[in-house]
Amino acid sequence: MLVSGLVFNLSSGLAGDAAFAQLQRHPALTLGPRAGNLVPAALSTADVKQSRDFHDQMQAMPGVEYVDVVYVGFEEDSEFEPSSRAPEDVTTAGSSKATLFDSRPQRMTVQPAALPN
Amino acid sequence: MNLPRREFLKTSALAAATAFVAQRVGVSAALSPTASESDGIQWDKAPCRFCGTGCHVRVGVRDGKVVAIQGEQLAEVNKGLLCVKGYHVGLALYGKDRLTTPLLRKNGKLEPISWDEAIEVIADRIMAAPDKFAFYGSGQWTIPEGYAANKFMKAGLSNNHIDPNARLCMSSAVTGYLSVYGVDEPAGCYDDFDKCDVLILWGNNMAEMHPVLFSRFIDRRMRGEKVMLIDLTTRRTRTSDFADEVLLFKPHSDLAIANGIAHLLLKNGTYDKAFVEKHCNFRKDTSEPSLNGQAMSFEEYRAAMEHYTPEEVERISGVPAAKIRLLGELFGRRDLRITSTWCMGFNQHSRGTNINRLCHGIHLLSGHIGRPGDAPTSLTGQPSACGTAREVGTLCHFLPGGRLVAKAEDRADAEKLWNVPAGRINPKIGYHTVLLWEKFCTPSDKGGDIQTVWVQVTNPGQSLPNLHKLFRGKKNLADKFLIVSDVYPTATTELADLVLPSALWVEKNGMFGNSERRTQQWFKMVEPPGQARDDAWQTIAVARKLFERGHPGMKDKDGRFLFAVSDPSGKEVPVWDWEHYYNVNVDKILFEEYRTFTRYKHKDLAPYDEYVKARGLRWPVVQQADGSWRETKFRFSGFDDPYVRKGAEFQFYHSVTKDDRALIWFAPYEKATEEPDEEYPFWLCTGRVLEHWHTGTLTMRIPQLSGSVPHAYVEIHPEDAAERGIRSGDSVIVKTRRGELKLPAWINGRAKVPRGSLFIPFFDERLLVNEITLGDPDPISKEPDYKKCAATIRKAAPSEHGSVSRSEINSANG
Repeated sequence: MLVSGLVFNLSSGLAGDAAFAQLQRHPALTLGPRAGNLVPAALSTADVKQSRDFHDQMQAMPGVEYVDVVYVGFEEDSEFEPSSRAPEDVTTAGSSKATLFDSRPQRMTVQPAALPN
Repeated sequence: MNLPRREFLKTSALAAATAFVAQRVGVSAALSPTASESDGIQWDKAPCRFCGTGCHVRVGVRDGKVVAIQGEQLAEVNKGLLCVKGYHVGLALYGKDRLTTPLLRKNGKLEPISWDEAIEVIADRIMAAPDKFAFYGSGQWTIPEGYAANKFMKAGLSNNHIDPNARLCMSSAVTGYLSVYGVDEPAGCYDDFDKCDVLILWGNNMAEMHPVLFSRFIDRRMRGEKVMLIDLTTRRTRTSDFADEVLLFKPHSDLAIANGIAHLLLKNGTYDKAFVEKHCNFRKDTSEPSLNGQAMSFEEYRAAMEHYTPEEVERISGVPAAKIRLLGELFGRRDLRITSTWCMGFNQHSRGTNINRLCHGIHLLSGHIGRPGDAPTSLTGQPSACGTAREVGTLCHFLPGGRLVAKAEDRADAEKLWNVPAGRINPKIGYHTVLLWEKFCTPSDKGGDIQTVWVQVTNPGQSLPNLHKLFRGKKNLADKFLIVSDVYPTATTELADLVLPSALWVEKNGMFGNSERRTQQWFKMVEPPGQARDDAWQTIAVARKLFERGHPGMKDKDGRFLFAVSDPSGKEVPVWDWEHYYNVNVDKILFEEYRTFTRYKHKDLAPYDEYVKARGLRWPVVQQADGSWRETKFRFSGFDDPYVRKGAEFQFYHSVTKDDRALIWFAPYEKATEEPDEEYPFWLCTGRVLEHWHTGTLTMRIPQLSGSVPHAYVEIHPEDAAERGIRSGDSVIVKTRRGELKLPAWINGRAKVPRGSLFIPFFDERLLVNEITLGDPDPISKEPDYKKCAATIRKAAPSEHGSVSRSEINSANG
């Protein structure tokens, strides 16, 4: 079980409103009061993978500028496998290659805003 | 309220998000929960365990386990926001392979032993050769831990061979501040990011390395503020995506760029003449580099800068002359507030002290200093690099509170405060990090006079440069003994003879000092696993064992144990016995003792209990007439710093020249020690990524982080890659004069290197880039350069495995 607190930063205008409507319908989300383009939310997912997939979907949704994570609750244990150093070929080890070299959007806490004139 | 657990967590998460939104839009709102909740989650505050920003988190504990993290909305540093590492910091405690019992190497294998035996083994090693013992720590030491280690070595063993990993990351910032202002650490603070009009990042990928501070600045654009970001960099990074100007420069040529700005200020007459005449002197190096150099006149300084025309700087750096002029014009304007920041780009530089000096110099020359938003400010990479390494003075030449080992009156003062006999502190400076490890890895009969090293809270087996020479050399030296206190197995424990399991972060009481002079405190919240114990306890337990064996240094002048602790009734508490360690707050006792050292250089700290109430306080913290304690945001500025003479606008009151003036230094552009050539045509730079912290010991055990960036890689320009038939994901061999490394290539990934450059992050213990780095040290700070060496790259043949065939290269390396 994983619970996160998120803040959606929506685009201005219709695109943002459409995204907001979509977020309201999402079963994994509980939304708080919208303040302008900012929408607080709690996200509840079964595991880390689902949480990350959801974050990536939301990040890519039209009308969502970006998603801030502001709270993380976790109940799962770490999955780190202590490695033997200098692996045979790190690029083919497990999911590593797929994760690093796929086209998944990169997560950040901020995105570019308009530059000053 | 007795909600189901999941509902409760959702409510907490939503409350945190709602409070964050309210703060963003400037509306007051009820803060999310901090106090005890009926549902069983107990919230308490702590600084984040990772970088030097010093964000505060709220830690949610239930059933003796950390179960939730949120940004602390009461914290001025982060105002409720955290980065992706910070949100997952709680999981750092719960990797499956935590060290839980002491381990001693017997017949080549690490085997469990008792704590009593472990302490005896360490005492044996020290008693046999106390002067050949060294202690190696880091800015991950809490302030009380570092203080205990420093006192143990310098006041107890009369041995100054103690140095922190901070030597590898910020000692050039220290020598920069010392040689310019006569005292360490920034004059400004993070408030400068809220007030500046222009932020100049000097080789500083702030969006990834200090993302919360970066957001603090960039978010001003969301509020409609007009702010300008200039990214001076050797590769395009996430930071560059936000910048108004990205000025790509050739490695090492930042020296020329800084001089180019000074040249224009002088040529155009736009320097702040009144400020310079009133508050500055000029300085240059002696023939041999030194901390304080020699005086030069303004006219000599002007003549020395003549050479650095925009065109000449363009030739050296590759930055167009027009952009150098832009920088000169910005610094020449009085109507702007300009903040410069830097981190490893300046510090891990074989002329690190000089580039620090030059950056301070252009701020002084232009008068862009001392007002909110006008500041040259270094950032640190470790959570208490400032608090523990610099302020407590765990470097081999320092004593607490800015005192120097080499200065007789400073030693006498420290001996008095420690209540040890006169002459107890050895007047000879100890070995700095690189020398310490070199001596440890050199056979005893060939001058290797360090025989035992105790490492706490760091991972030199991964973070030292040129690892074969400075770390792996220990492997075949039977009389050398390595003790490692850590929380997980690391590249360092791999060669350890004795491994001690340590408590981590909120498994113990602690205090950190962040990049803006802010001292922070937290309490133990959960029990450490198995037999893991506090690092400070480990030090005290060994000290007590030496005391019992009659080591004279473990007694003070009155014959009392050096770390004697009494309860309120005056009865001694045996804190060396783990069962009694938490009978009293040892952290508080050590901190209150340390606090007596801090006024000497006007780095005054408040009593411990003030930090319990606060989310950190920035020193000097001075008591007011009403008994309250006031922090200082802007040092040396009359409007805020209580130590500035009344009526003075500025006063550099620890001036090297004893006249309240800061020093503007001249330092020439010089070539890097090893530059690309025909055989090794690429620049190789190393560094960090957002998701991982330092050597990845903690973050690689957090699935959310290790899953995002699971292994190291090498960034290469697409055209360089195409010429070599390399595609993203292909295995390549990167080779330097010190070895070679096989790893995957990444083209146009997160960052973009220019042609002729490579970049490899250092977090991955399986792909140790420091096996091939040069690590040429700055002559003054002794900090190695991890950002520049010559390399070559080729596609790996299918049959090639791992990081291989170093032998012939290493024999050449000596």
